[in-house]
Amino acid sequence: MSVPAIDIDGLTKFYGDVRGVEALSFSVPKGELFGFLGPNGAGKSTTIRLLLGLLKPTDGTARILGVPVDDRAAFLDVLARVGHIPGDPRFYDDVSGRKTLDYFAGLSGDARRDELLDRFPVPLDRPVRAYSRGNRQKLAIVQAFMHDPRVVVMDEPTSGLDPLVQQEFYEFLREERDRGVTVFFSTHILGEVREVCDRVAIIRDGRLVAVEDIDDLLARSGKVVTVRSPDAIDLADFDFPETIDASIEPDGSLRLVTSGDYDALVDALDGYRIDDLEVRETAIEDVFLHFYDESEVERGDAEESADA
Amino acid sequence: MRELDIAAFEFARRRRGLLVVCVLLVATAGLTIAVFPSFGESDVDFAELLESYPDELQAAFVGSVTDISSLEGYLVIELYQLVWLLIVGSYFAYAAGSLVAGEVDRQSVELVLVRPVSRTRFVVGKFLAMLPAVAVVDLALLAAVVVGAGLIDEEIHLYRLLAVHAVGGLYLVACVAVGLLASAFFGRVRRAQGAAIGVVFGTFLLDSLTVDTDYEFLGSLSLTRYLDPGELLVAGDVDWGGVAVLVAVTCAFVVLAAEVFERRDLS
Repeated sequence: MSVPAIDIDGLTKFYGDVRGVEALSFSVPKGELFGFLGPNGAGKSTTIRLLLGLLKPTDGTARILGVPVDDRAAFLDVLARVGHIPGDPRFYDDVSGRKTLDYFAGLSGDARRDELLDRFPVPLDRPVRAYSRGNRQKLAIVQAFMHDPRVVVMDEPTSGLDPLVQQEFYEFLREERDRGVTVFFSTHILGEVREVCDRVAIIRDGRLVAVEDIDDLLARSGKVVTVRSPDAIDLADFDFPETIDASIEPDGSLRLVTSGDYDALVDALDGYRIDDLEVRETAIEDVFLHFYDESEVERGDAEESADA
Repeated sequence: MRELDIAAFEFARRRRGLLVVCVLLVATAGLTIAVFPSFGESDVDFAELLESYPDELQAAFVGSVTDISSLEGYLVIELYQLVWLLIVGSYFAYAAGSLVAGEVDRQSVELVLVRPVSRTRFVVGKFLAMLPAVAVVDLALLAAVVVGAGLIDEEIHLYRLLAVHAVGGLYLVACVAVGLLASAFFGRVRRAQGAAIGVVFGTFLLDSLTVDTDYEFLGSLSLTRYLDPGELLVAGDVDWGGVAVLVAVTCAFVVLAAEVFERRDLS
């Protein structure tokens, strides 16, 4: 098997006693669209900065295209084939978009600039200060891809993009993937991962919770049903094989996470008067809760066996 | 040569600020020179007045000049010693304080250092950007003094004036190196600029206040110890040892700044 595009091995970063990330290990093969999912503050940006050499790890290593990030000279060559969009891209306020791109072109090339600008147009001759958040994000996309990188690392690249541009960007990412480009991006939006990614790593509190195929993840995450009834709800009525999780909320309503089979659900609801019924996609919090509970349990088990 | 791209981009962004500094400096020089003729005509004995200054003030603002009635001596006291060494020197240390820290603070550095640009080249590029800035300010003042002297029909020793501006330019470059080092070390612009200006200003005072005391050796920490506008402009003596120190300090600080920046976390 060829060298993975991105290989993270035991990557750890502490700021004093505060954990940024701890013992992260996963790898991304070439030509994959890989999502890096986690709530805000989970350590996504820290991981990306470690991966690009902006931060020095406390322990562990990261490699891009097989070259370790701490091999200064060799890694510089690799960076010529890497594109990056930071979490909150900041350009030079008083400089126009065109001159900004000219500058970056001088540092790493711009073979595809015009093609990208056709697709993600920005007011090139205005100073970046006057750009909207969306335009700044589009400028960030252009600078990240204009030197035709083989690996692109992005930190929440769709934040600030309007929905149409977002769809265009997803389409663009799929095309890049099909050309063999490896795309790695962080997000806290599950829908985004579902829409474009092949695989996803889930991070929480600086630790890797899971690395999953998107299809598996979706099969396991299900939908959330909320039922409000004036009657007392008996959880036992909703214990179907498809039920992932069922609980009574503090206000007495039922919260059910299910992977399907609405017939049984409808039958069970027949016995209740219903004030309100909602079926929605699993939000990221639900997926996290799901994984988090599991990892809590595993950790608890480990501690018990250590005690014994 | 990516450091030249970085230098050109940085210099272009500083053009406006530089223009303001040049205008202010030329205006100051113009006013100073315009006052000189009436200065000579007045009855006050300035040599005596200077004598009556405390030694520390003499060291700070008068330097080695004893003859204030010549234009050269007058310019050293009124322009080069105070405005040039202290104010322009502090300005360049301050300006250089934002070279690296500004990009780190603003996070634009995340768009530059993810390209095949080593941190050392980045730091060197930022330093190089300030060389034409120093040259522009240096030449603006030189031109102002030459033209100003012509306008009041005073002769000025051109070679000595060139020597002052050549060595003075090296001094300003050394001030840039001080700012650059602070800039590479601190993650916040204000902190870097504060440290840079504090060092240049503080050591200037240290140099002045310790003259002829047991602590005179402390003044050797100051860049101003290594050039003497009075000696240069009035006597025409170049202190080559001092020049060597200024150049050596500059090189050492740039290397140190690059090394400090290579080892730092950027977040």
